[in-house]
Amino acid sequence: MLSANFIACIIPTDPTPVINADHIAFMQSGISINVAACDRHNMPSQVRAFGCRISPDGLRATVFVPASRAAAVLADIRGNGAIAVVFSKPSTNYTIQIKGHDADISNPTDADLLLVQTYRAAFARELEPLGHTLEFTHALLNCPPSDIVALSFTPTEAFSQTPGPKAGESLSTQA
Amino acid sequence: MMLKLDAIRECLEGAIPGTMATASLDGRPNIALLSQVEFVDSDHVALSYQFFNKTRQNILVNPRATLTVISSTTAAQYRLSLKFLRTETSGPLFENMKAKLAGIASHTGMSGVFRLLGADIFRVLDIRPVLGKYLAPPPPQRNLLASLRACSERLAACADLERLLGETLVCLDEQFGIRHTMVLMLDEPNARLYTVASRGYEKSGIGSEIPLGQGVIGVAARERTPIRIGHMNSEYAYGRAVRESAEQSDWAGVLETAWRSHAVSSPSLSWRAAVCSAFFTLKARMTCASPTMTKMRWPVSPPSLE
Repeated sequence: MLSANFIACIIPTDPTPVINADHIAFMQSGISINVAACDRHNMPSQVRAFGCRISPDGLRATVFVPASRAAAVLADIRGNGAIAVVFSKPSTNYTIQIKGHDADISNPTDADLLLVQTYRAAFARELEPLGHTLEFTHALLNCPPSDIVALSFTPTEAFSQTPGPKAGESLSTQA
Repeated sequence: MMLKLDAIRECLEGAIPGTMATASLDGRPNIALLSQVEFVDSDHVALSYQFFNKTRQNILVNPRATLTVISSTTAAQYRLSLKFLRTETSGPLFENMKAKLAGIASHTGMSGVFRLLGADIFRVLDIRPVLGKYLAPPPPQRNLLASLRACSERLAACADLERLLGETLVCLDEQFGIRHTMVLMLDEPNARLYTVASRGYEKSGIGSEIPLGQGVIGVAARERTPIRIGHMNSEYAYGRAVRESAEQSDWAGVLETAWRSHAVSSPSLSWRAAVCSAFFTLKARMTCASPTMTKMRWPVSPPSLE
């Protein structure tokens, strides 16, 4: 588990969101989403996510992952709650990473499963001009609804990760 | 038996970015996209070190990482467990990766500022396929050994340089499906390459010149190393993203102001590999065919076939 001192220094003292409306719109669009966690020995794990939902105030993010491919990530999140999620638009390389430390795991709602379906179609539209067929994208994101789980957390840090000299800067610095 | 890197090399061609997860010593994960994962051998990969980012900070204190790569033909995913070993700042691997990056930088007006600082070498500890229902792999298009044998026989029958050059490019087209090819030779006093044969282009381009160090071709020649770019549009888009970011940064003052902002057309993909192949084949053929031919100067040392 994370130490109390560590948690104290990364938890914002007020509920100011670290992402704005533009970031939220970007993160909920048909882009590439990948999730990382790590175990108590700091061994990282990762899995591709199938969509994202963010509360309108930007204080809660939820990503959807296939449980069958995310065994290590789910075990790590159960262990310490630490999570990092990277969002990237393949056609432009525009990339954002958000992090949190209070992730929990839950079952998706019917609305969430509908969102996953919508995400698949949007991601396929993003990839098609890059030469990837619908069949390819469906194979990449294929899994039964019963396999989907939701990972929800409070974004406490947000960074630009678009390639270049400004990668790694806090999004609040760039605003 | 553990899956070897050779078996999934197609996933490292750069068509789809890999994702690299690392962790800090205080237990905070990080995940980043990688435009390029360089195949070193069946047990090692190399990643380009261009910026001191969070991934690099993490691996310097915690060498464990996981990397996911994707097949661009089947969508199959593979999860690699990695251990960071060292950073190389010289040697053949570094020069190869540096030249490739320099070629992209040259095309996006960032020569001199967008450069390789090091090649980070990782040992691949484990490779596991990620569960899923993926596409069936396409059947092989040809038997490469039979194609090579057919080419050797045709080239052996060539008695002069002009026919040898022409026949080589025809062989690459007919036997290997490499439709766009050109051969350039070095004009050393003027530090330029000039085209002596080409195939597949609307205009032959014979006689056209390119300075050493300009573009991917010029950089490959200057560094005397083959450059293999499987997906030029992806590489170019990556370079363009860096350029746009750099324009908002401290780098802005040193960027070249005139650069080609158009997308690179896909036919240009294949001729770089073809150039390397042609040099190799021609050099070998000429060495055994004609003592006078071998006295001619070649623009680069014959590269190894990858």
